[in-house]
Amino acid sequence: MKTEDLIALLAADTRPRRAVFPQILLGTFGPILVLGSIFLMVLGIRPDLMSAVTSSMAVWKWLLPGLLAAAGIGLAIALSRPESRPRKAWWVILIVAAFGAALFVGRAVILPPTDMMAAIRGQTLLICLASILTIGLTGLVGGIAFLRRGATTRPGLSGLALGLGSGGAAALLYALHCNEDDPMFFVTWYGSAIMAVGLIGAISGKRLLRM
Amino acid sequence: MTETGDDWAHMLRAANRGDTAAYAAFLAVLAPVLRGIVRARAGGIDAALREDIVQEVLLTVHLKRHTWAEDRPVRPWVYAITRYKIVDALRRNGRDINLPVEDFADILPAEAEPDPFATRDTDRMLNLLDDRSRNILRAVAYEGTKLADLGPRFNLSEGAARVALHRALGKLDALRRGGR
Repeated sequence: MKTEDLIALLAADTRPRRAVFPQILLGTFGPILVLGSIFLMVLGIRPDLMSAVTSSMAVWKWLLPGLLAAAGIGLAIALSRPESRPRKAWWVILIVAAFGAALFVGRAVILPPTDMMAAIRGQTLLICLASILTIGLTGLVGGIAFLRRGATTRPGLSGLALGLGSGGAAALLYALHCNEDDPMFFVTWYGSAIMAVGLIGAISGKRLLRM
Repeated sequence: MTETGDDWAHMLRAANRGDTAAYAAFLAVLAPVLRGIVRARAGGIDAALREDIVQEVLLTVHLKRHTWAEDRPVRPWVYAITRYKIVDALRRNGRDINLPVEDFADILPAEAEPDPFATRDTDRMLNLLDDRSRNILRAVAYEGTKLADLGPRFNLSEGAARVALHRALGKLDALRRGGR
């Protein structure tokens, strides 16, 4: 086919385009909200939520994942424009990670070594990991489906950002149930689950988001 | 020679409002610019393969044009897609390269070779399409069939013909990406 014939072909396709950014947002957070609400209905919201939010340590269970959710999804959307080189959102993600690590270390230095393993292990490790992973992955799947309509030139990074954002949003919701307020617990396990969703995002993004 | 990117934005905005002539004009000025960039940056590849890359960029620009925001310049957007496609093509040919996108604006456009060859890639993909998609694309590309006339010919309403054409282009693109 000659290039001029191809141009005639493309010009004949007059189907209107829809903006992709709202779709990505909805595709990611929609499933997370739906599945997250179901999980919360089954598991229950912690009764002492109000006092927990105001107690010094637990508040980071919402702040850090919340920041990560906003930065991750913002980054994934920005990257869906081929020419964009977003930097600020990466800094937010790095700062969240550094802050999480600092919370962990801050606890580690004051806790007697004998109590450390118990603090990390907590009581609800399995349900915590399973919930954040499951909720986060539905967001990742929904988000990638719409991110494919974008035009990223960094498919792996786009997937990573979307995964971290989905994982963060899932952790934010799960934290409404979870009553483990020791940073050693939530930094370790929220962090691991979020990073796992991020990693799965990066791998699937590299395959599925190529232009 | 630099037409300011504003002309392009103007044409593309008009295209977004349904002005097909402006859109065809945009693609027609874009093609030689792409050809020049691909020749300058992937000169080691033979001419027919280079024209394949040009067509691939055109198809991608078309299918992804909703990712261009109307208040932004067109050129950086086009160049980013072009760079991605050239790197992709060179990598397929076993080369690894470093392409600074900043240089793209300085490259002169190039006309098609005197005897404009048909490229292999698009036709190979066309042959892999389902019959209806292939026939629709051929009718529009080679016979200049208008959308309004596609309907009766393929037993479709005009709206359905529009969707079918759009889908066929999407399938063509998917085949390109999957076929390597």
